[in-house]
Amino acid sequence: MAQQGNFKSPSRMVALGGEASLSSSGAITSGKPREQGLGGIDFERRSFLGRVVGGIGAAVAVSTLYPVIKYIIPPTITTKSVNELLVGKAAEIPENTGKIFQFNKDKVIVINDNGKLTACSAVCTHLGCVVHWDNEQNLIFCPCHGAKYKQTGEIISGPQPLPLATFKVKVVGEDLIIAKA
Amino acid sequence: MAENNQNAVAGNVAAKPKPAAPGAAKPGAAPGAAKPGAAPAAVSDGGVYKPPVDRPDSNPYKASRISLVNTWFQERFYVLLPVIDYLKKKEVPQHRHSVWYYFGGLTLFFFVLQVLTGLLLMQYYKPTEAEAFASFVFIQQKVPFGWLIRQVHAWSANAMVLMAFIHMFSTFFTKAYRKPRELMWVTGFALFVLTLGFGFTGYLLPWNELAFFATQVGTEVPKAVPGGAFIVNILRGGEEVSGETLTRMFSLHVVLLPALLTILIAAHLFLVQVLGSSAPIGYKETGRIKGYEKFFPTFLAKDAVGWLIGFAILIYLSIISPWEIGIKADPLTPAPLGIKPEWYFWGQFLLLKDFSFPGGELAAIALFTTAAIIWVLVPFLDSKASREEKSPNFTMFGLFLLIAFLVYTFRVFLLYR
Repeated sequence: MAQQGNFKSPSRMVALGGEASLSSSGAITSGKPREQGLGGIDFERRSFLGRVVGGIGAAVAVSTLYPVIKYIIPPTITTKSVNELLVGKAAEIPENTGKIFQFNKDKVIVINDNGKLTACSAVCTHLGCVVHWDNEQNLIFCPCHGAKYKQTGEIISGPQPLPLATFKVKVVGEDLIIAKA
Repeated sequence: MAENNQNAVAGNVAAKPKPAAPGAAKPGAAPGAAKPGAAPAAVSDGGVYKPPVDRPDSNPYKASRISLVNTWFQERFYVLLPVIDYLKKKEVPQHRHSVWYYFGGLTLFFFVLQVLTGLLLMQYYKPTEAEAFASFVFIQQKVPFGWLIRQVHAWSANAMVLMAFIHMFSTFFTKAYRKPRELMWVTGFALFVLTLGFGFTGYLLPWNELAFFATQVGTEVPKAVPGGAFIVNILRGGEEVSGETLTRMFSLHVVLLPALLTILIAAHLFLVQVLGSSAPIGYKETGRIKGYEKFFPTFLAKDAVGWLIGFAILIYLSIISPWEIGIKADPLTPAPLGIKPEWYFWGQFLLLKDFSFPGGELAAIALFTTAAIIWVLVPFLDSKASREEKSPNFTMFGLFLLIAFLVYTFRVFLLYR
């Protein structure tokens, strides 16, 4: 057993000596009982001080944590939401392919199926994977869990709960424009 | 087992119930005695009445309130209870120089603040040449309270260095490094060097003009030493200070240095637990120690008061005197006028400038290195202090270094106002 208690302090030595008689019958020497050690302490004053210290401590803790929590929450970056956006040239999407563009906060897949242009959300409604146009099967396919959608975004099969949101797409001259549905 | 544990945590009670000494009353005779399952009291063979023996309670603490959680841990980790008892042993002597005991704790406090605010800053900071400055400005201007976190990090860094300085010199002048605490001095010095390393590597991270040129000058220094160009190349990750340097400084600042510092702090604190706080030479013999106070919780509570004061001062400085944002670093712009390093490098900075004769830089570096080596070896050189005798020569040496440092620092302050 490691040494215990206050061995350096002279007062402790006295306490040990003074207690020796108690254990003369061979019982285990024990420490000072609680009451002796806490003699002369005003408990009423102590609990008041305890409350004051605790209260101030809580105030400090809260006012420290508040900025920290505010800091951790990422600041919202406000971008202007537009109704129409010129995303590129129509020639970027050859026949029987699809291409994904950023439109406001959405990823939009524009599909050119034999000249017929459609646009719908490129984010699978199941678990958020980005879909692609599968030209062989002539459908929108999500490789993560095999969700299948029609070109217009309607559900064919798979685990997805909702169809893909649709957008408008048009070609003005050579420019490709996506607009809100 | 649980019974023994409670005895142990209460302290001063042997872990195993000892058999009673010969000649004593039979165990179990007194109510509530240590051995359960002994013969019932009072009734003895032959109908002879034996009065119960008045004997002290084996566990006077059994009525003390121990929480459920405490009990849960005690039942499982009772082997660690001697460790807790050992921690309870730690005491701090009280005398007229006791105030110096607080500065080590303050240094640690500011380091913990650095870890916490550093972790927060890293949530938004991007350590690349293209994005570092932009993300630094983003933290300052867009993230809620980002300015506060950055200011506290910058001020706390300075406070940590200052506290380490005071802790080191107070340790030196009270000769607390003497036998048996030589290794506390050595680990402490290593911690001090690492702290300066933190200051140097962290300085580049905002990637503003000041940071860029300070690092440019700082990493140029080793070139004066033969073979130093190689070291410079490693420090910079190339010939010039560039995005490569930023990546290196960042990785040192957030990975290598914290890891080393944590290990060394553990060693330093372990040593202070084992060896205790030192009292100045002759204080014990001449009765100038007024008493001892428990480290846990008395001294720690006092320490915490100091931490709160330090924290308040930090917040005050962060608001009243914020560090600048500056201009994004551009390697093709000339260095701004009056560029100087952080205050804790001023001494070295000016000495390098003062030694302007040919080969002067090398001489200055040699001087520093020699001084640092002597400084770290002081506990082994100062044999008088190890014999608990006064060693005025070493006090003079320390005073000389301290005054030289202060004079040089003040000169930089005057020159670059």
